[in-house]
Parts: sequence; structure tokens; C-alpha cells
Amino acid sequence: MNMIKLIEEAIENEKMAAEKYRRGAESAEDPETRSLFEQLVRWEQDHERILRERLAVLKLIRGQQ
Amino acid sequence: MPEQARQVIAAHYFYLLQEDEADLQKLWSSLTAAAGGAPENAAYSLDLAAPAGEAAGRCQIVHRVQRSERDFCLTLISGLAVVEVLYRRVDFEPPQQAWPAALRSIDADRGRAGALGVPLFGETTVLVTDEDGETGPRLANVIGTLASRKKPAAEAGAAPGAIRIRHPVPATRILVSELDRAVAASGSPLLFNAIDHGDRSRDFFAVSSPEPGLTLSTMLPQLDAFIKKLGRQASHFSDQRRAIADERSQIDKQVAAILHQQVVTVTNGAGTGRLEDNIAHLSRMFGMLATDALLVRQAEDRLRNGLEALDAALGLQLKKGPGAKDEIGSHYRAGFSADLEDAHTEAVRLNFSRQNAQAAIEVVRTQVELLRAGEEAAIQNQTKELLSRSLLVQQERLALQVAAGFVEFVLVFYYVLKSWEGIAGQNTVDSIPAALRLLIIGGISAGAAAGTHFLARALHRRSMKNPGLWISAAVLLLALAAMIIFTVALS
Repeated sequence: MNMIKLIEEAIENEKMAAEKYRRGAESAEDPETRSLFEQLVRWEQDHERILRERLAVLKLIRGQQ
Repeated sequence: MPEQARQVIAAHYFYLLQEDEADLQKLWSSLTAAAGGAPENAAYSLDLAAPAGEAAGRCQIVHRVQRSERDFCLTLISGLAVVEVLYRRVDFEPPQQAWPAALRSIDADRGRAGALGVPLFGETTVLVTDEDGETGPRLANVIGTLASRKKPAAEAGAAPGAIRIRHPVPATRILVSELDRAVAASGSPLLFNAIDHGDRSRDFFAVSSPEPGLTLSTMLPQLDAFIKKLGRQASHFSDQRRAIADERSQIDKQVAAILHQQVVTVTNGAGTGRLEDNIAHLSRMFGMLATDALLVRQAEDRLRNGLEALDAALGLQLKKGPGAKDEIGSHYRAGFSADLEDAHTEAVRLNFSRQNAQAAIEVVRTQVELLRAGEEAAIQNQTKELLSRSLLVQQERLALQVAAGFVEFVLVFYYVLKSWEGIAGQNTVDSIPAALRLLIIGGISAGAAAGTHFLARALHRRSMKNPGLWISAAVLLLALAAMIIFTVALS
């Protein structure tokens, strides 16, 4: 499996994880749990952003070769 | 409406990878459909392989709507596609007073892009004014206002349960550079760039020029694209270097540990097997360092090329010469030069580590050879000792053989004499001359003793080709014949 495909899969995984935590935050019964899920959503979104940035750079580098 | 009233007051650039053609198609369609109207160029197509425009860096496609507040332009810049949206004021108020309306339109367009989920490479908002004196502070103020819109939802009175988005308090700095007259056309053109503003989703520029058209459609997207591309690459290479530096550091520790372990191993007199394992491990680490060095060298080359391209772009767009204000160029050049320097430093460190690993391999290999030489000397000594012991045993065996042969001779001699006297009679034997008797009995005894020795050797060798056997047999037979002849003749 090439690097681009691997990162695209990783992005999908991050999106799914963020969605899962978002649902967790929405259904949380106490503020502490909700806060924890919200933090997890932000982490996953950060991971997705970093992966998207790396994917774009890899595509650019590949395009220059 | 007079043309003056349609002056450009802001612009927003959506950057995508040129290869993400389908996403570009979606974004372009969504933004232009919201603006209405029809494309200006006849050859309206998003076939990027055969762009409709003139040259790269100019608008490939233009979408302009009469009396609309927005124009659209699609530009291709070295692997990136830029959707440029120019926002025009629709009344006579000064540009800076029209900014809030333009920023609302920009927000709406960004919302459309966000809803599509297209992977943007970057975004840049540009504010335009014809007054340069207060542009910097105003830009900082605008960014501060935008950042304050993203305060936590709870503070902003959002519904309970909504996801809160926290942003750090921006410490915005505004850099200023003078634009080259060739791209700014007239006036006292200045370019402002906000940095450290804390909004990772987009960059901010401001242009102070009475005629910013060329700057906005050509110069700024090119410069911005170079900065974005190089920034992303530098960030990627920086992360890569960090990972490589960690790996190098681990390898350095392992090399040191192996060298120490090797000293202990040799002192303990352990075998060469463990040292050979160490050589294999060191060789693997050497390979990893060589690969890392290649990656860092490639990154260094790309950064250097990118920096040269940025230098060329800055040289074309920003004013040069003594006294020219160029904070933007200085800032990015310094940042990317520092990245290049870091890459070079890491390359040098990797080279040292590789040399260390190579030296360690040589050291361990030498120790293996020394150990092997020592083991060979020990084996030689053992062999020598075994040989000398064997020689001693052989000497002892020879002495025993001689003794056994003598005893056998005496016994055979005695029993042959007694047997002969018993068979032939004492008188008969005594009548034979003593010398002849001694010769006959001695011949039989010697033939029997030597014959059994030679027969045993012949059987051991499984070969009867032994002269000693045949001679001793002949002697034995002759003596027996003489004994029989004399006994018969004298009895």
C-alpha cells in the first residue's frame, strides 16, 4: 500500500473517530464526560488536519518529481 | 453604477492541489452558482490539462457578473489551483468601512467551501485600501475582531451541549513591504502581512494601493502560493527531521552500548557468535542512517530550491534596493533559511553517526578476527599436545610389543624343545648337535613370534602383501622341516 492511500485511510479513521466522540458528547449525561468527549473531538480534528496537510505536501512533492 | 463604486475592497483565495480536479470543479461551481451570471470567457472549462487562459499565473477562467459584488478567477501556480474571489464595494463608502460587508461575504463563501468538504491547501484573505497610513493597525483590528467571533460558545451564549471552540489569544504582528512599482502600477503601494494571529485556517494580507488589480490577481497569489508551499514543505521536513533525529539519537546510544558490551564480552572470553550478532545489528543501523541521510539531503535540496523560487518571487514583486522596506521578504527568508540550516546540521550529524556506526562495525569485526586467531592458536596447542601424547603412547606400545615378542619367543622356544624331546625322545634330540638344535628351535620360535606379529598386522590392514609375514613363515616352515627330517633320520 502506498503512502498516499495509507494517509487517506488514516484521515477517514480520524473522521470516524471524531464523529463517534461527537455523538458521545451529545449523549453525555454529565458535564465532565461531555467535556472529555469534546476534547477528544478536538484531538481527532487536529489529527485529521495534520494528516491532510501531510497528504497535500506528499502530493506536491510527488508532483514535483 | 459608476466604476469607482465597484472598487475592489477585499479578496479571498482558496488554494487546492491542481490534481484534485473534481474538488476544484465542485468548489468553482458552488461559488460561482451562488454569485449567479455566466463565465466571461467563451471557453468555459475546468479541463486543467488544457487551460483556457494564456499563461500560468494569470486567470485561466474568469467569472464576472455585471453589478455583482464578486468576481471569480481561476489561476494555476506550480501545482496549485487558486480560486480567487474579488469583493467589490457597491456604494461610495471608504474601503475600510466596507470591509465588514466584504468579510461577511467571504465568510459566506468559506461556509460554502466548508460545506462541500473539499480539501483546501490553504486560504488567504486580503483587505484592500487606498490609504497606507492606518492599514496595519486596521488589519490587526480586523483580525482581532475575526478571532473574537470564535470565542467559546458558552461565553458567546451558545446553546448548552454545543461544541466549544477555543482559540489562543492572538499576538498578531503586521509585517510591511513596499511593492515593486511594476506590479502595483501607481501610488505608494504597500503590502501588509499578519503573522502569529492564531487563526490556522487562513492567512491575512492587506494591500494599500489605488490600483490593486494586478497585485490581487497575479502577484499576491503567486507570492502567497510560494510561501504556503514552502511553509508546508518546511513543516513536513521539520517533523521528518525530528523523527530522524530521535532515531539517530537512539542509534548513537545503541552503538555506544554495543561497543561497551563488546569490551565486556571480549574480557569475559565469550565466543564470536555474539559479536557477529552485533555486527549484523550495527549494519542494520548503518543502513537506517544511510536512508535517513538520503531523506535529509533530499529535503535540504527541496528547501534550497524552494527558497530560491521564493527569492525570485519576492525579487519580482517586492521593491528592492537601498532603503526599501521589506519586512515580509526578510521574515520568510529568515524562517526558511533557518529550516535549511537545521536540515544541513542534521545532515552533518547523521554523517557523524554513520561514521561512528561504520567505525564500530570495523572495531567489532577486528575483535572477531582477534578472537578467531586466539581460538585457532588454542586449537593448535591442543593438537600439539595430543600429538606428543600419541607419540608417547606409541613408544610405550613399541616397548611392550618388544617385551611381549621376547616373552613369546622364550615360551615358544621352551615348549617346542620340550615337545620335541617328548615326541622324538630325549636321546634322539640329544644326538643332534647343540648348535643345530638351537638353530631349529630358534627358527621355529622366531618364525612363530615374528609370524604372529606380522599376521596380526596383515589382518589389521586386510592385506597379505607383507614380506615380513612371508619371510617369517618360510623360516618357521624350514625349521619345522629340519626338525622333522632330523627326527626321522636319527630315530
